[in-house]
Amino acid sequence: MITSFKVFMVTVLLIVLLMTAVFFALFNGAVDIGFYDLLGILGGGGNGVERHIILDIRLPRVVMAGIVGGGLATAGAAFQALLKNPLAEPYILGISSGSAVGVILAMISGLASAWLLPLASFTGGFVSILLVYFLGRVGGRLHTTTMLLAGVMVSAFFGAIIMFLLSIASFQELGNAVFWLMGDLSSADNKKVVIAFLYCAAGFLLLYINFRGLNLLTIGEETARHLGIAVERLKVVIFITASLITGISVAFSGLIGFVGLVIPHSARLLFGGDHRLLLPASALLGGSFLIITDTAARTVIAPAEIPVGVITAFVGAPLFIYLLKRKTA
Amino acid sequence: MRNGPPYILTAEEVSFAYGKEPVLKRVSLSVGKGEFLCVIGPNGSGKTTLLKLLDGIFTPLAGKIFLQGIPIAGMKRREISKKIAFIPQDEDTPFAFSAMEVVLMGRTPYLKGFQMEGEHDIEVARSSMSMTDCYRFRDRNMETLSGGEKRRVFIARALAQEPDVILMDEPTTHMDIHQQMDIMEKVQELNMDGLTVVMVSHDINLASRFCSRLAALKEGLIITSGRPEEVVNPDFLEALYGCRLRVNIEGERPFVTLTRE
Repeated sequence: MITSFKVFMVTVLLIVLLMTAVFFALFNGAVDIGFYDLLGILGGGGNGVERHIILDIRLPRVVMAGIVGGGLATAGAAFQALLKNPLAEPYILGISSGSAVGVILAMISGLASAWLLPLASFTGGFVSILLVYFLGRVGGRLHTTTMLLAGVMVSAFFGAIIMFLLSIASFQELGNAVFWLMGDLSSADNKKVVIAFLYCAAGFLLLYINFRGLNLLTIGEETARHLGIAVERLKVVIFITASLITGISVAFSGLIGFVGLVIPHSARLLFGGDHRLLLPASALLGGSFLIITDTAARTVIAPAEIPVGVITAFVGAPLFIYLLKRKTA
Repeated sequence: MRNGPPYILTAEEVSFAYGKEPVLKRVSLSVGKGEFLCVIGPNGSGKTTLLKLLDGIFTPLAGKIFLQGIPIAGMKRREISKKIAFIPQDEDTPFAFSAMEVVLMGRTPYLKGFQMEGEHDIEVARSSMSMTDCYRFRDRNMETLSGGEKRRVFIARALAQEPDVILMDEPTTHMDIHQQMDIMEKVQELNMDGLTVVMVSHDINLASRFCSRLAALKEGLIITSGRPEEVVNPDFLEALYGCRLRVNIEGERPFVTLTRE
C-alpha cells in the first residue's frame, strides 16, 4: 500500500540513482577525462577543451537522455493505464512512427524550428494513438490482440510514409535522418534541452494530478465513472499529454523503443501499480536507464557510435515477448 | 433518516435509447429499504441499462430517478457514490494492484485531490474485506486471484463506499456453481444486515432462491414484479421467454426445471 512516506523515500532514492547515472555518463566518453578533472569542471574550474567537452557536448546530451527516457517511461505508463494493458508502448503501437512522419514533414516543408518541431511530432503521434485506440476496439473493448495488431498496422503504414518521404527528399533536407530514425541523442544542445524539459514537465504534471483517475481506469471505465472520475475528459488528457511527451522525444532523439515498456514494468514490480508512485518512479528510472544505455551507445565502439534505439530494443524486445507469452498463457 | 420516503431508489417513467433503438419504455420501479431485488429478463431486455440509470451514470431520455426522494440528476457524482455502489459485470483485472489497494479505491468519493487514504479509510477497507471474506489475501496481486476471489474483492470495494444500496450486474457470471453459492450467500448475509441490494441476472433460479422480489423486464417494459413464489410459474415463463417449462416448489421457493410443460 502507498503512503506519503513511501512515495517520498522512493523518490529520493531514485533521484540519487539518477544523479549517479548523470555523473557516470559525464565521466565516460570517447575522450578520457580524469575523475578529479571532472569534479573540477563541475565546480567551475578545469581547462578549456575539457570544459567544452563536458559542459557543451556531454552535459546537454546526458540531460536530454534523462528527459527523453523519463518522458518515454511516463508516456508508456499512461498509455498502459488508458489501454488497460501493460504491453502498450508508444513505439510498439506506432505512435513514435506517427510522430516521425510529423517531424520529417516539418523538415521537408522547412518549418523545423526547435519549438515547432515538437508540435509537428505531437500531431503525428496524436493521430496515430487515436487510430490505434479506435481501430483496436471491438465491441467497446480493447483486447490485447486487436490492440497490438492495430499498433503493428499503424506502425507499418506510417513506416511506409517515412520510407516514401525519405526516398523523395534530397539529402541536405534530411541530413542524417537514417541515424536519427534508429534513435540518436547526439544533436542535443542547451536550447533543445530547455524546450524538451518544459514540454515534458508540463505533460508529467498534467498526468500526475490525474493519478487517481489513472488508478481507477485500470479497473475499468465504468467503475471509474461510477466513482466520480470524468472518464472522457481523462482520456483526452492522456491522449494529449502522452502523445506530446512522445512527440518531444521523437523530435529530438528519433525512434527509441521499449523504454516505455521496460521501465513501467520494472517500476510496477518494484513499487506496485499506484500511479502516485508509479509515475515519478517511471520518470526517474526511465531517465537513469536511457542515460546509461546512451553512454553505452557512445562508448562501446568509440569513437564510432551505436544508435541508442538499437540498445533499448535489445533489452526491450525479449522482455516484450516474455510478457506477451505470460499474458496469453 | 427522518420521516423520509419509504423508497431508497425510484425510477419514474424512465425511457432510454441507444441512438434510435429504444431500450426502456416508461419504466417505473421502486426499491424499498432493505429489499433484495432482482431484475430478470431475456438478453437485450434492458436490464443492465436500467441498472446504470438507477446509478445515475446514464441519464434517462425521459422520466426521473430519485435517490431517497431526491432527483439524482441534480446530485453530485461524489454524493451519489457515497450512497450507491455499482459492480459492473466484467471488471478488468488491474495490473500490479493488491486486493487491499483495489478495495481502497472504493474510498474515492470521500477523498479530495491529493489526499491520502487515512486511518479511517483503511479501517473501512479492512472491515469491508472481512465481510466478504477476502481480508486474508489483502496483499495478493489482483492478477493472481481466481474469478470468485476477484469478485469478493470487487464487492468489498463496493462496501468500502459505505453505500445504502448496492447495484450488481450479473454477479455470478463465469463462476462455478460452488462459487455462485458462496457469493450469493455472502450478498444475502449483507442484505440481512440491512444493505439494500438490486441485482440483474438472467438466472431465474438463482434469483428465486436468494431474492425477496423479482421484477421481469421484457423488451424495455416491466411486465411483472413480485415475490418469487407469486411470479415464477409456467405462464410467466411463457410470457417472458416464449417457452413453457415446469416449475417445482422447494421450501416455498419456485425453481424452473429443464422440462417442457
